[in-house]
This record gives sequence, structure tokens and C-alpha cells, in this order.
Amino acid sequence: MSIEILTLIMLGSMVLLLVIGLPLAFVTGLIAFGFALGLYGPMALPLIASRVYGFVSVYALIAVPMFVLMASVLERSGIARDLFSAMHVLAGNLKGGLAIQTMAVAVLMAAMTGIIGGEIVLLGLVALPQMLARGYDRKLAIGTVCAGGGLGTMIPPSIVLIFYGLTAEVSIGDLFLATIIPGLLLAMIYVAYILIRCYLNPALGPPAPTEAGPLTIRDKLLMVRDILLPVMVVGMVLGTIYGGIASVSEAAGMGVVGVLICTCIRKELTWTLIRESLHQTMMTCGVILWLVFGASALIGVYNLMGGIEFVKDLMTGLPFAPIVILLIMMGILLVLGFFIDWIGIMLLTMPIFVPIVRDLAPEFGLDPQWAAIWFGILFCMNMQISYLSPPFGPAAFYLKGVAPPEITLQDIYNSLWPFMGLQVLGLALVMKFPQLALWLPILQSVN
Amino acid sequence: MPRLNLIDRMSLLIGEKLSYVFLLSVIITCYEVVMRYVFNAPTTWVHDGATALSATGFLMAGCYCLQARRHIAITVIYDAVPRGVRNVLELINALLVVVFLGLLTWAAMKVAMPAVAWQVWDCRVQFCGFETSAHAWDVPIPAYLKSVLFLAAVAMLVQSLVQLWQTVDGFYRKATS
Repeated sequence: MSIEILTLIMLGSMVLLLVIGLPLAFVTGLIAFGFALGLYGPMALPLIASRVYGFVSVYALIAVPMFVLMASVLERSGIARDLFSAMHVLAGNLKGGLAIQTMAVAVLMAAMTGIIGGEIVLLGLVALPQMLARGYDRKLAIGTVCAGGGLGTMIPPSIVLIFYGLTAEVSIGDLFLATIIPGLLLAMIYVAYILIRCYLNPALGPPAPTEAGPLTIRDKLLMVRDILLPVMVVGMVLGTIYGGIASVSEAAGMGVVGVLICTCIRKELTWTLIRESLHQTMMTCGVILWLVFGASALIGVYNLMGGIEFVKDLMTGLPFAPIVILLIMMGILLVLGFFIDWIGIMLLTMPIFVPIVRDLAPEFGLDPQWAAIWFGILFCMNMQISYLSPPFGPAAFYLKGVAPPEITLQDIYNSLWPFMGLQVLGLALVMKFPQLALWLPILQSVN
Repeated sequence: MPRLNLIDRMSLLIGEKLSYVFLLSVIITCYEVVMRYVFNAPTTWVHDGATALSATGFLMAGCYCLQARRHIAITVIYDAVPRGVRNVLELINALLVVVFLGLLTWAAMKVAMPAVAWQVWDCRVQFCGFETSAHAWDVPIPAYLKSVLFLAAVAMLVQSLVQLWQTVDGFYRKATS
């Protein structure tokens, strides 16, 4: 059978099994096993199974449970809540100030966590009620929380980029450097959007009423503590990575200890907190690993069939300029993002796309390795959109879980469109100017 | 909420207890950093040790998620179809999971056997040494992890069989009532 037909059968069976509600990890795994059995006989199965061994025995992977654990502890402590109230100095009498404050907290929290979910839940619990109580436009408030919370995987550390580094075989440290400017750029675009809308129509985000009474010394000290503790954790994690002191995995370990020290200082550290955080970590890791396993088995078998070569020839053979091919790839990622989650998309498409990008690198005037890093950032930004996109955008589900009951899932999705537009704008900027991503890592590599 | 049976409880217990491996790997990783920078005496075993601990958690977590039915699925169609169709789909899904995990268990066994060097020779099973990592800390981590992979597959297979049985049972009851 020709590779075209096999590809179609593979895609068809995948859609069919997904539609009937079989978990994605088992869909991909089952199809991989099925094709391997049919094409290569039973002895191919152990080869596939050993891929999962190959994956878990990579040292860089241990950063994943550590960052997840860190986020889980953070979620259960009052660190985020107090950080939010302490940051109200930022809001001042600015129109839309509370939304800006939310965005600032989102960026700071994103520098402590590498996953999406926890952050949206926290902002949904802490920031959303305050904005609604202050009479903020509901759509603007919801969009701010979801888009800001999504930055968790854009600002380093980021689980998405760790997996990208492992899949595309590029340095995770370089990826973490490359994502700083694009991540902050996205945050700036959000802030600009909030400011413009609120200045055009102050009813969307009324400024704070004048403060009642001066702050006491004790209040000020507490405020300093609430801001300093998270900043210290961020410094511990990112400082050790960028300072070249420790590997990403070791920095993640330090981060966990840092967060635990914070909870200890805040007298929140209990055995229950640790136990529940560990259980949540176990759950998250189980979901991630088996998705990884299924998808990497499937793509492995597809590669063996010559599928990756086939798609690569198909794409590079297109009579289009390289930038158009890049746009097509981004379009595919965007469409997939509406249906399956980032890890599935990454493991299924990156083994195909990254070699294409490396091949096209000279056309963009880049070194193949830097092109792969740039593409990783583009992927990460693309996934920001997929978090918000209906019908499965996880951001909306996370927020729905904690939002006031009168806010429906439909309300949430309706609020997210402008922010998805802003994300496309950010993506387009980094696509047009690769230097936005590559300036910092290249600067570091020169030194 | 159906009453938890023995297997469900086992899966839950194993998952919860094994989650401590992540804490342990955090602790030894920090120990390594401290030893390296404060005492200038880097260890040889933390790197591989932390990896093995984490990997154990990763692999065994599959069963924990299976028990909680937390593996990510797209349920938009599944939720929309009438109840009768949904029951049939549930049955098909449970069956497919068992088929997948059955194949995986067999494949994992094929991976684990040579690593722990059990070889079938003249109809007798012989032991001839563990596969080791050949790193500075030369311990049989590959043999260990490949065995864990096998154990994880077995645990998931057993769990999925219980879920298949529950589904069939439920299907039968819904069909007769």
C-alpha cells in the first residue's frame, strides 16, 4: 500500500477513535500498535514499548514533575492572593488599573510555574471577583484572567518548552532565554489593549476609589514580604538557570524548595499541603507521560513507514515561498489546537515540522539550530491561542470551575476572541522578526 | 459513585504512595547542588538516582490516572449521543483500552526480560545478570526501569479489566432494567 493511503487510513482511524471518546493516549498507542503489527509483525511491538523507557530515562524530564509540584504547592498557599493585594500599588488611579495589576501578577506567577491551569484558577479566584465587584466590563475581566493565566507556559519556566527541547533536540536553557521577550511582548500587548479600551471608554474599567487612611508600618512590611517572597523564588529558579549555576532540572528542584520555604515562612506548610500537592503532581504527570508515550509511538511508527519523509517532501515541494510554508505549518497547528491539546500536537507534528524548519533555515537567514529554537517559540505562542480557542480551550474550563455561577462557558468563550486576536498579532510579530526570540540566546552564546 | 473494589483501592494506594518519589527526587537534587557548591564534592549518584525515581513515578502514574478516569479524551460527541449509544460506546472504549494494554504488557515483557537477563534456554529460564547504566554510578537502573515499565503495564491492564467488567456489568443491568 502506498504511503498516501496509509496516511489517510491512519488519520481516519484516529478521528474515529477520538470521536467515540477513547482517551487520546490510548487512541495513538492503539493505532501505533495496530500499524506496527500489520506492517512489521509482532516483533515491532517491543521496539515501541522501549520508546517509553527511552523517554522516561532522560534526565531533563525530571524538571517536569518538579515544576508541576511547585505549581501545585503555590496553588494551595496564599502566596498568589497576597501578591495580588500587595500589587495594588500598581493599579493606583489608573483606568483599568485592576486589570493591569492582574496582568502583572500573572507575569510574576508565570515565572514561578510552567503549566497552564493553576494560574488561571488562582487569578479566577483572586482577581476576577475583585474586578467584577469594581464594575469592570465582564468580557474584559474574563479575557484578562484567561490570557494572563495562559502566560504560564510562555514565560520561563515552561513545561511546553521543556518538551519541545526534548523533542526537537535543542537546548532548553536557550529556549527559556528565547521566550522571555516574546512572552513579555504578549503581556505588553495585553496591557496596551486594556489601557486603550479603558481610556476610550472608562466605564469598562473604572479607576480605584481613593484609599481610605494611610498604611501602618505593619501593613507596609507585610506588603514587602508578600512581594519579596515570590520574587525570591523567581530569582532562585531563573537565576540558577541563566547564571549557568545549575541545570534546568536542578533549578526546578531549587524552585520547589523555594516555594516550600515561602509557605513555611507564611506558616502554611502542613503535611496535608505536601501530600495533596504530590497527589496532584502524580495525576498531572500520569496524564502527560501516557499522552507522550502514545503520540511518540504513533509518530515513531509513521516515521518507520516513511511518512515523515513523505510529508516533508510534500511540504517543501510546494511551489511557495518559505514564509508561506511556515504560515501553512502555523495554520495546521492553529487548527489542531482547536481539537487536541498541546502535548499531543507537539509530539505528532514537531518530528515532521522541525526538520522542515531546519531545512528552510538558510532561506530565513538563520542557522538551523537557531531556526529550531525560533520555531519552538512560535509553537509556544500558537499554543497560547489554543488554550483560549473553543470548543476545548482549557483556559475556559479552568476558569469555569472557579468563576461565579452566572458566568457560563459561552460567556467565557465570547470574551476571549479579542485576546486571541492579540495573540495572533504577537505571533505575527515574532514570525516577522525572529530577532525578538533569538536576540537574547544569541547574545548569551556569543559571550 | 460506585463502591471502590479491591483493585481500585490498590491503584489509588499505589499512586498516592508512589507520588513521594517526586519529593524524594527534589530532595536529592538539592542535596547535589549543595554538595557541589558548598562542599565542593559533587555526587555521582544523584543524576541517575533522581531520574530513576522520577521515572518510577511517571510510569506508575498511568494506573492512578486510569483509575480516576483522568486520561484526556474528547467527549463532545460522546456526551451528545443518546444514552443507549453512549452505553455501547463506553463498552467499545473499555474493550479497546484492554486490547491496547494487553499488547503493551506483552511488549513491555519482551523489553524487560532481556534487561533483567532472564533467558529461556532449553526450556529452562536462566538468570544471567542485570543490564546496567554504565555511568559513573554503575547500577542496574535500565533493568530496574524496564521492569517498572512492565509492572506499570500489568497494573494498568488489571485496572482496565476491572473497568471493562464494571462496564459490562452496568451495560447488562441497564439493558435489562
